[in-house]
Amino acid sequence: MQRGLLAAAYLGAALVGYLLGGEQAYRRALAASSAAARVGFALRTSAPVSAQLGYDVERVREELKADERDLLDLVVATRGLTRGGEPDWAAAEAVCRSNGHLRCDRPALERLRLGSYR
Amino acid sequence: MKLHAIALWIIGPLAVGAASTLLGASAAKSKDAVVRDTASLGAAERKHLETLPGRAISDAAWALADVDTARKVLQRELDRLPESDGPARARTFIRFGIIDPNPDGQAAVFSLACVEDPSVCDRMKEAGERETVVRLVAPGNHLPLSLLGGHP
Repeated sequence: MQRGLLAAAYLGAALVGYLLGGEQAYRRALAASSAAARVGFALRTSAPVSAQLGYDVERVREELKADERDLLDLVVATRGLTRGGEPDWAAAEAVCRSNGHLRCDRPALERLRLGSYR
Repeated sequence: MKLHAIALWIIGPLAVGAASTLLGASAAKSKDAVVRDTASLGAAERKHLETLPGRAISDAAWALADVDTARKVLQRELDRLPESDGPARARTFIRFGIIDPNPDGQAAVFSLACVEDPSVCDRMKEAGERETVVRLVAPGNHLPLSLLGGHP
């Protein structure tokens, strides 16, 4: 009985320590950069896989004017920023057309994806 | 006996907990590469990264939007860009100039680009071509006459 309790105490301590350590380190890393910087980083790298990026894109979006939000949506869809770098052409075309842009064909949307950000 | 119990029941679990905290911290660092890699950059680099979403938005407007929308977004980009980012500000002015219908207005805006980035002064035509190539709709997808040398 006592051995079982002791094992539980050690296991519990290990689990709590692991979770707390992980959470603290992640929060520190999050606090070290802004949402806009992380979205910028994702634009610079070609295929980001990040669970945080969806939230960051939303934070950046909230700061924008309505017409710029639509353009950000277009950028996010063509670059696949929230899909691990996998473009969402259907969403990109839908956003593009709903905004009445002059060209929304696939070659034009693919050109958007090519821009490099250093 | 009492010391042994304290070590076994209190100090031991605390030590395991502390070691696990380090383990958890290193596991979290590799959890999200974007968060980890952005955090590891210097302050100036992170500041620069913050300008990139605005630049991507401006590029999207420049590529596909009508001239009024493009102009509005370019103006906002110009407001956002720091004075220290001369090349980016020059590029924005060149885009403004390309879609300016008035040759005198174009010349004025191109000279502002030249002030922002003196390296484009002698290569305004090439700089203009770089921008017209990435604009996929008219007007603005061809060099204006003032840059082609066809304007008196």
